[in-house]
Amino acid sequence: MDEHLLAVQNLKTYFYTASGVVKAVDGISFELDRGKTLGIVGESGSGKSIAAKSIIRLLPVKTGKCVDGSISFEGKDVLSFNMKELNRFRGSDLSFIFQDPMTSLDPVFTVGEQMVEMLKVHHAMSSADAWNTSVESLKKVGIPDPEKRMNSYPYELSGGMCQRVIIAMAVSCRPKLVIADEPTTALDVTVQAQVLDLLKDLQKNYNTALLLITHNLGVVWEMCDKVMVMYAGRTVEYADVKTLYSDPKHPYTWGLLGSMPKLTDTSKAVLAAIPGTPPDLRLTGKCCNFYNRCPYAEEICRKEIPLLEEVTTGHFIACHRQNRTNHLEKGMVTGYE
Amino acid sequence: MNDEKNTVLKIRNLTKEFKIKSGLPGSRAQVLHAVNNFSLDVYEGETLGIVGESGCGKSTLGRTLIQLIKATSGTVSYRGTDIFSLHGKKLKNLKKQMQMIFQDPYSSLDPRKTAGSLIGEPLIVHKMVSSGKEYEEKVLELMRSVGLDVQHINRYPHEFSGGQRQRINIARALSMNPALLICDEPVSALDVSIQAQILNLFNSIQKERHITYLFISHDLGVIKHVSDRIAIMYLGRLVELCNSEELYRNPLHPYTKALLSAIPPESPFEKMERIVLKGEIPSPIGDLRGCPLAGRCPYASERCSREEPALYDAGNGHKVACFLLNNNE
Repeated sequence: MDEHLLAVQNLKTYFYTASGVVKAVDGISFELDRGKTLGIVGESGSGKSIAAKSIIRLLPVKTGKCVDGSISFEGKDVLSFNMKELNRFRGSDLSFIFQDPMTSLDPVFTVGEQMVEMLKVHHAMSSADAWNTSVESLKKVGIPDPEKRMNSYPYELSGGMCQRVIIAMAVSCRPKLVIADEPTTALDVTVQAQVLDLLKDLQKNYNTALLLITHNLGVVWEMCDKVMVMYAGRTVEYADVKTLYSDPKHPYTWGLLGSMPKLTDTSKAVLAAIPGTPPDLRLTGKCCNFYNRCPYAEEICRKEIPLLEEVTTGHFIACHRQNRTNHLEKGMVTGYE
Repeated sequence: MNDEKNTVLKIRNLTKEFKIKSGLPGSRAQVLHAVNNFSLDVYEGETLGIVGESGCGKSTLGRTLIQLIKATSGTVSYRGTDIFSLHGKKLKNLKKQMQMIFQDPYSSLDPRKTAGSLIGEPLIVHKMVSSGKEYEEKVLELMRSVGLDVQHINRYPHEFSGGQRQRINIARALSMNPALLICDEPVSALDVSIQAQILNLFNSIQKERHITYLFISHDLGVIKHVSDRIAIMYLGRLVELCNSEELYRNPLHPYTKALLSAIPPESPFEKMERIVLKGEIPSPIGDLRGCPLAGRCPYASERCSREEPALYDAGNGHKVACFLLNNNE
């Protein structure tokens, strides 16, 4: 077990709401090693953010619950941590980068106050040391004039700058794992490129593992070693990026790849859009969640949940048709119009 | 493409400035230059993509064109008529020809109206139908043409998904039979699989109805997919304009090059060289001298910070505003 930094087994996170049980995450498994990057892709509502929040146990106390499965970090069971262990885990072992850089900093404290506080709590540093370390890490993430920025309030910084501050905070604790939930979605492409480069550098320098949650496949191709495709709370395909790109096996992955407008395409070509919309997560359960949008759906897809099975080494898919998809090539997906 | 294309929209030196007051007593109002001396022709039947990062003034441009906000100076003529001089009935007639689709399908629909009445409302406002039966037929036809289920005619917006709401918006815009559709980030709030459906819908509508699109987006992939010509905006100015194929094959402006190189790769096998622009977009508040990119451009010379480059025709309709390409001026 201790060969993986983070191992998630059959995790299920349900929300108990007044209108029914929402199966936000319904059985996902993955492993992440030190220094590696795993991407989780999926559309909104596919449960990727909830999966990440389950890992750091940031679910709403009353409604959200991990009902099944296990999360182990360096062999320790995260789900059984008590408050003290959890604080240690969240603070020094792991850092979380949220989607919206403008709201994840506290608006009433300066950047410096927030960074110093964190270092004092998690690393028991003196104020002066913490201040110097913070300036140092702001410099590392490429913020001009770091001494002056320490006294700035978050509203005085742009989105890209805020995200840099958050990354600086994330790395000043030297975490073993960084979970980044759509870290660049709120940013412009040129700023996105800068932030991604920054994350890559930090990973190289500190051998940090990165769990990157995104809906942008381009970001996945650039950053990740492995990728997990989620649909309606379940893993549909899990492989290393090159395999997933060159030999995707699940019909949803085909649709996702075909839906992306590409710069190399001729203009005004018809995109292979997936018909329909994702299912209501209160009603998913005893079937393949994709069957109503899948051009190859059969009787069995309506009756049984497809299990995640290894088709070739390290390439997992969850599809009843997995043995019969071999004669179909990616370009031949004609069912999508 | 023939050279003598019909110009639908002729934008000349369009400028929009906003006055910003800090609220402190005694402080002077500052000027935010959202759109700066912008000139562009839109030809009949084409899709002109406008791309730029947030804050570059692309949405302000769209809103100025349909006169949701008043331009500070400059002219816009639609098929030869100056649209800023129109009033009353004439303006109302013009608005039938120019329709707009907004970014957020959640806030652009009245939550208290049903899908049917949202789509049919413009028909009544502009007195396009004479009888109740005609009205009903028209609404159903519009719903079918954008791929909405006609059984959902009495549903309210909150019962629809984002993609379906954007379809309602499109049907609503199409109800006027517009000649020009200004689409302001119509797919950026949608997931990729839904986005692909809507982009396909835009394409098929254009084929059927020969509508001219002004398509505003920050996503270069999307823009490339829908556009015939692409205009790149930076800090309220037009920096490059050319055919979409040409733009990706042969970008000329340093900003365009950087923008293209910043796009994440299309496959894990692709290794890319990045042109990194230093720093961030300067603030559009206050006066800016010289080329807007001067502070970030790796090729900036002393001249760039003094003068603003004019649009220079590099041949074949490829226009670019940069001194690098037009030294002999």
